[in-house]
Amino acid sequence: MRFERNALLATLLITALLPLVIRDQYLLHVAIMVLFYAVLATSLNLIVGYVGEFSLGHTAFLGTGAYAAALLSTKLGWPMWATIPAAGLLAAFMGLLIGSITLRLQGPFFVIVTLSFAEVLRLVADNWVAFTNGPMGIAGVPQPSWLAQAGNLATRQFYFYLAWGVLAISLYLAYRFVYSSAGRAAVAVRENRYVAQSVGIRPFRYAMLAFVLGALLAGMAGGFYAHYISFVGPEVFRFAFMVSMIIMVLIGGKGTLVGPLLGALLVTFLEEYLREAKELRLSLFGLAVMGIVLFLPRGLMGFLATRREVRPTAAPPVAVAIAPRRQGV
Amino acid sequence: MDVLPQFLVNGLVIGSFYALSALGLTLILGLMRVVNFAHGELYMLGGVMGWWVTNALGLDFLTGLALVALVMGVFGWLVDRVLIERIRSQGEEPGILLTIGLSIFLANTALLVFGTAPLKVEGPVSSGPVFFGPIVVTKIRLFAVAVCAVLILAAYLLIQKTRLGRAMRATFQDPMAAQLAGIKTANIYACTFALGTIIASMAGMLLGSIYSAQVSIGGLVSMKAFVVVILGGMGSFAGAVVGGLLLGIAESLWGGYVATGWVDIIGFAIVILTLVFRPYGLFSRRAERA
Amino acid sequence: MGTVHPLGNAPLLEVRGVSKSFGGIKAVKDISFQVREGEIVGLIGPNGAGKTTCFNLITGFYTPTAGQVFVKGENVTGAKPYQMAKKGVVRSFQKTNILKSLSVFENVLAGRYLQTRQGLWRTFFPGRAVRETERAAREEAERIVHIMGLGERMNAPAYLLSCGELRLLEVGVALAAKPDLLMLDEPAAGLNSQEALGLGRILKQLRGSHVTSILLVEHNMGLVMNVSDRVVVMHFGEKLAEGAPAEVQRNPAVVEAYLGGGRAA
Repeated sequence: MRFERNALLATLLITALLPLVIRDQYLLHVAIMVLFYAVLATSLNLIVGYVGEFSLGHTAFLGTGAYAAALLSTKLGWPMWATIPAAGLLAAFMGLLIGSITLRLQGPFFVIVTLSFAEVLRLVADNWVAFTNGPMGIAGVPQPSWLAQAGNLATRQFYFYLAWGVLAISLYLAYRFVYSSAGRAAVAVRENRYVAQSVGIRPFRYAMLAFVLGALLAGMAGGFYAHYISFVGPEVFRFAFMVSMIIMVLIGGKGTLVGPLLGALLVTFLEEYLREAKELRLSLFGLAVMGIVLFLPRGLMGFLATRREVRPTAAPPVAVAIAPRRQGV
Repeated sequence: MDVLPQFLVNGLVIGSFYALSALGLTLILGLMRVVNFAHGELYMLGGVMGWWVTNALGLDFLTGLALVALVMGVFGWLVDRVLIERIRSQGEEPGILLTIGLSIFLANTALLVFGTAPLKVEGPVSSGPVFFGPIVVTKIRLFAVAVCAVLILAAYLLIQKTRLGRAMRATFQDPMAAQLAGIKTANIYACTFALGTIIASMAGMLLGSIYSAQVSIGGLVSMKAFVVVILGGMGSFAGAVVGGLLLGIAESLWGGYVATGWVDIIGFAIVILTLVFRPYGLFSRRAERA
Repeated sequence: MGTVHPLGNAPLLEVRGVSKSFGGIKAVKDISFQVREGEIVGLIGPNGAGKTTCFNLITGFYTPTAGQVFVKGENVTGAKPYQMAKKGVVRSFQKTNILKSLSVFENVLAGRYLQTRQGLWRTFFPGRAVRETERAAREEAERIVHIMGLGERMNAPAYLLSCGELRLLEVGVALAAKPDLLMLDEPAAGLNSQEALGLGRILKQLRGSHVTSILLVEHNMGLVMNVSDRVVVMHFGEKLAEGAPAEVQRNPAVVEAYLGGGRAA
């Protein structure tokens, strides 16, 4: 607990200082993308780690948030400090709707139905031209007016700190959730539904909480995305985005708070480095997923954790004589 | 209206293709409990390979089909022995992730090699129309439906009537008992996966002769196959067939009477509705755990 | 729900005419028995007698096809497991069920759920009261780990524990949920005779101090006869006999049900 808290605080502190060191616009952009992906990875990790199911439909929440922010600002003229929270809330509401159906299912059923929802939303975004402008998307998502005078670098710095702010909020909410009674309950449900039920936990409620929280964070990230990129189209629901998110969570190690940050860092760099060779990049991602499943199932964080595993000390006299320890059960 | 019979026939034609495609998936699901997200890519590889053997090698369609089946069968066998075998004991999730990784890898590597242009598989008959009264079907589609039916029947006979099929069914009812009876279960798993791969890839080649094979088609094919499998019940042979036909007809009617752009949404709506109301599909009877 | 009697009149648990059929198979037929305050009741019977099914029926993992279940006089038939936990009835499982990748301490702490629940706001913005609750829960969890004799395994991940230790951990997790009635399904399965003796000592200590009553299913006759105040015998889904341990052991029908002769511990 303390380790994670300190690691998270240290990370936030160090990244806050980055714009003082980085003056190059492109590098700053990459840094912003790392922060953006970190929020997404954290949000997906809540579902994978704390609902214990693999959602392939997380883009539904990213996209909902992005479109919400885009529409609220272009059609209703809402300012950015209102659209991003609204994006998060609308995505959370979408999470409530989708979760009420999908969380009753497990395993492959859950995977397929979450994917279906994401695909439905993509089709809606692509076809409901009157509302979403179809494949043309929504362009010209406005920036705050006072940015117009600032130079390019200052604008990027602004967005960097905005992303940093969204990440800080996300990490705070995620941390509080994980280390609360609710977080423990969600883990108990994930580990063993029967035990969880027998001590009074309602599995559905905690799965829903983790799911909606994940949706909220992804929605805020989407809202940020809309204003930063200034354009939102149906490709925000594309599966390639989902793949990146999966890899970030897997590489980092699901179920930890630091893992997704690591994953986001690695994946963003990989994506930037292989930016042009999209098929090659995705091909490698596919191999990476297989490799992780086969050789590093608990991701980097899990791998590091196993090396620090607690070894039992010599046994002092105890109330009940315990049979010699056997490895595994 | 007089378009209804045409829509129905169109739906049955497409539906038989969906049925064949879903069959490959449901066999692997029902018999191995592996959720094969790479199913669409196996279909795609069948189509792409079918293009290559009929165009580059100049083989006729049926010979090409046999060759594709052979090669893809070996490929499927290897995938199971080398990849899936390692995570078989770990529960469902590793299988899901592994096959997702495999599907991403296959799809993008194929894109790198073959590019995005559609690849036409040379069919054995022309696309000339055949008339049944007011209803029109092209010759090539009729041929494809016929081949589908033959393949489905062959798969059925394989599973029900042959020694291999019995060994498969035994293994998946109780692997331990099957091993004790002398069945080499590792080979059975590999054969089952190979069978599913063969069916998927043959479906891909068949449809490649009608529509042209496209490297990016994998995702859509997987989704449609999952729709059918969920609708019909995971692991149900009959469910795959009936479900496939139902999906085909539903899409055809929706596309004909409502709007063609939104046709794909039908599949997803079916998935969501099925999973909400009858999660085990139309053909499964769920017994309470004693 | 039925009328609520003051605890003095109503037994802690009453099972009345409970039956369960699966398709055509009657797993449990018209079972009735009680567990009174301060009692340890043993539920025994040959394999397949329906004991675990009985547990499942009481705790809501199955719904009875007939009959009722009362806790402290209140009709709780068909209540879900989490509701039963709130009513003070917590069970362990026949096959070891714990949270495998968590440590011993974390397992027991998870059992403390009902005592640490917070509303949504407090989950994200905890104040001093929440910190207090958490601290108390952690202390209690530690205490329970020591009671079960797993003290030096406190931070060991559960998947490293031996079979016997796991059974003890399971009891510990159920205990953490502060039940009035602790229901244990074969807690001594996999324990050697010394461990089983130790478990018996622990159970007798728990009764009256940490839990009100205990209902346990067991095959280990030595443990059951030593620990129980009363024993209920099931056979083929029906109640065969009931009484003090010594009585039941002498009952010819019981002896016959166990295939001619008492079973060794």
